[in-house]
Amino acid sequence: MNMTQKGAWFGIYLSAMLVAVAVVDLTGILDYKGFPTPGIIVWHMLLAVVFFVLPIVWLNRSRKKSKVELDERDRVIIKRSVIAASVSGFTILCISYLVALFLLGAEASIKISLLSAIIYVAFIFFMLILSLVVLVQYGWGGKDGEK
Amino acid sequence: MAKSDLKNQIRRLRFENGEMTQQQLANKTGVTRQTIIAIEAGKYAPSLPLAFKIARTFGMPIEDIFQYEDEDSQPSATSPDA
Repeated sequence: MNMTQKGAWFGIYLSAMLVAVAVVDLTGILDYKGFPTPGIIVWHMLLAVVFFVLPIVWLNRSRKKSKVELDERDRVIIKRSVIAASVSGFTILCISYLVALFLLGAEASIKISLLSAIIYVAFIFFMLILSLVVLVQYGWGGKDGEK
Repeated sequence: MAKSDLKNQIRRLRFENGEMTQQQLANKTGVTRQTIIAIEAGKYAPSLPLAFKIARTFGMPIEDIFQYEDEDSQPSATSPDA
């Protein structure tokens, strides 16, 4: 498994974590009432370090610096994946816009928090599609990435 | 990735050149071993610069290593398979 594949698996992991964060925040599983705002921010930063930064550090440490890590085939795969993911993310934004337009009407307004949520979902879709398309093109990481 | 119509003799040539490993060929051409595997299996068509690098590694003309085949054409006359 090369670095691009590892990065794709990390993308899936990251997408899952972002969905988990959204679920926790929306369902209110963790009750932050009574906690000072700086404390909540520090808590989230700590979670980000544990779940996002540490895996990235681990990925970088596992790199074999003497070998070629990214060649023309990897670039082709990444390019195709970015195109597919961009189209998916853009499609999600367009669908959100059309749904809002037809349900609420052209003169309606939405909260900034809802707009943030739409962008958040589009970003998760972008990362998930990017990772999945990379893995599909490599063959899901069979022996040495080839089946 | 989609299987290409580009046939090649890389596997045979590696063994004829001192049983060169895929990793050795990858190192000489500046790509990963996965890419050599994909090219050998016909899953990836290399760029022209990479094809030339592979040809120079074996000291052969490029058409002796790669043969393009489609429905309308016969395999190249220089192909060892022909």
